[in-house]
Amino acid sequence: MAYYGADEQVEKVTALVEKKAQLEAALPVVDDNRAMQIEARLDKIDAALQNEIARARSIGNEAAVRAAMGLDGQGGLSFQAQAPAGVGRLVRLPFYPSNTPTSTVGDYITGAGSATASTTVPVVTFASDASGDAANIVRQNGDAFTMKTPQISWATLRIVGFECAIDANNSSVSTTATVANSVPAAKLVCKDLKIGGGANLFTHEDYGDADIYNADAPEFCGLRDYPLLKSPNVAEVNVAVVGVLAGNVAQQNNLTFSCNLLCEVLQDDNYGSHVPGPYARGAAMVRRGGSFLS
Amino acid sequence: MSLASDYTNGMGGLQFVATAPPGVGRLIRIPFYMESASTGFDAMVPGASTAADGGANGTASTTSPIVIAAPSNAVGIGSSVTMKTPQISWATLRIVGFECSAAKGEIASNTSSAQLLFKDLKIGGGANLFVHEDFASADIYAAHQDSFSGLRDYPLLKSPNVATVDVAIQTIIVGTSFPQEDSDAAVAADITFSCNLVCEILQDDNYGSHVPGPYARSGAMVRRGGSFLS
Repeated sequence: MAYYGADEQVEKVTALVEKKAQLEAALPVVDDNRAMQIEARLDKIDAALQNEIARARSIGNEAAVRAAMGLDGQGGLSFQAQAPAGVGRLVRLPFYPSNTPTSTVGDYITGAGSATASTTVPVVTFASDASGDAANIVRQNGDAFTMKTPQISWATLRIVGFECAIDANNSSVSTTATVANSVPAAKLVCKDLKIGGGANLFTHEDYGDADIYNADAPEFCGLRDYPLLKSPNVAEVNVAVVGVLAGNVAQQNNLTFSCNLLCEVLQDDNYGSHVPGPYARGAAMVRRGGSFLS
Repeated sequence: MSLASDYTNGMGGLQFVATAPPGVGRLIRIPFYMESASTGFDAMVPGASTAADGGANGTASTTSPIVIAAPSNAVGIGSSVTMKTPQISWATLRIVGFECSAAKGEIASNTSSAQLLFKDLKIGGGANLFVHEDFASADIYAAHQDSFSGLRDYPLLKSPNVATVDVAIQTIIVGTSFPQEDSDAAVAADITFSCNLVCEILQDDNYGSHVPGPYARSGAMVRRGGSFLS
């Protein structure tokens, strides 16, 4: 049974909890006098919250008040788990090797075969053609090629990131006794992430280690801008594989990779308009001045 | 509870957490390039020819950040090389971190691989931003860790200033059973690495001014006194 004043009490507790969080956040960066004032205010808020819990018991509103205070868990514990991003947020748009990926050394293998363009499979493997060395392990620099996203006619997207899935196999490849185990994995490099032939979104003018955009990283790497992606524009990126590679022993030191554009769906012809994540909303993307902006 | 807050707040006091992109111009990476050649260090440039077995080639590059370091023929630290970021003429950046990505083989069972070392992260010839005066293991700045390693200061990076860092490799084991520099299978003992400056873009000539992350805002960077501060 809900008593009169239950909703008002929840609102009051929510406001107190928010104020407490603001004050606690400010505490490390204020001077000593201000810190003493904040601590006194925090004591008062704690006392007020205790009173509200006591009152909540008397009117049967304890569950709602404890929820508003973030004390749902048994014994005051709180729980945190990684959540899905929400509808249309953080979607991945694959890049495809739609231009023929050729290299004077080694071989780019796509879903359509060796050194052949593919518009349906985004995964590419670089296989070395090294030979002649006793261990068939050499340093090689593969040639660069361009990968592209397909035209997305059904939605308007905002680009918020770029990521690579890199599967570097550096297991034992040696046929000689001098090298017993593994060799260092090869590296994927990338440059010139562009939308519709526009400006480079990477902050590096030349090649960068694609590991900074690795999908396994705990955080996303930033870009210079978060532009819109609307058909017929597509995104493109230039990639290459370099490093220590194994040759024709068993092609065991290959590097397999795929690249994806990280986007927010702003407007979907089939599923409607979505609310983008806070990082892609207007208020969070403050961009004043700049020759590319009006 | 209003209709609007129904759509933005978690029900029952719950909150939902998902890893988000950092926002425009935040946590960007500026690669270091090995602009001057040095013995035992080779830059790997897409499409360029390179020595098959590594060794003392010493190839420089201003376009590819990938460098292969080869262990020397003697135990201990080898020669060091200085890597530099390019001049960033299009933006004013605040440096908030340093990270490196290294790949190395195991060489042989129950043996230690060579170690990559860094020292003297400097901006425009200024003071060292590392807290270690001499070399430290690259592992403390390894990418993909849960947290970034701290620096002594978060200075601005404005052109024509560039950032520099010294890199060296420490050879742990040598002998006929282990690959050495210039040996036939030396490349198996190589370390392939790149390093990057983690920055916030404060002002971009093309894309305008941005709001930096809270860790790089003035309120969070309390610095009182100190001989480098007025």
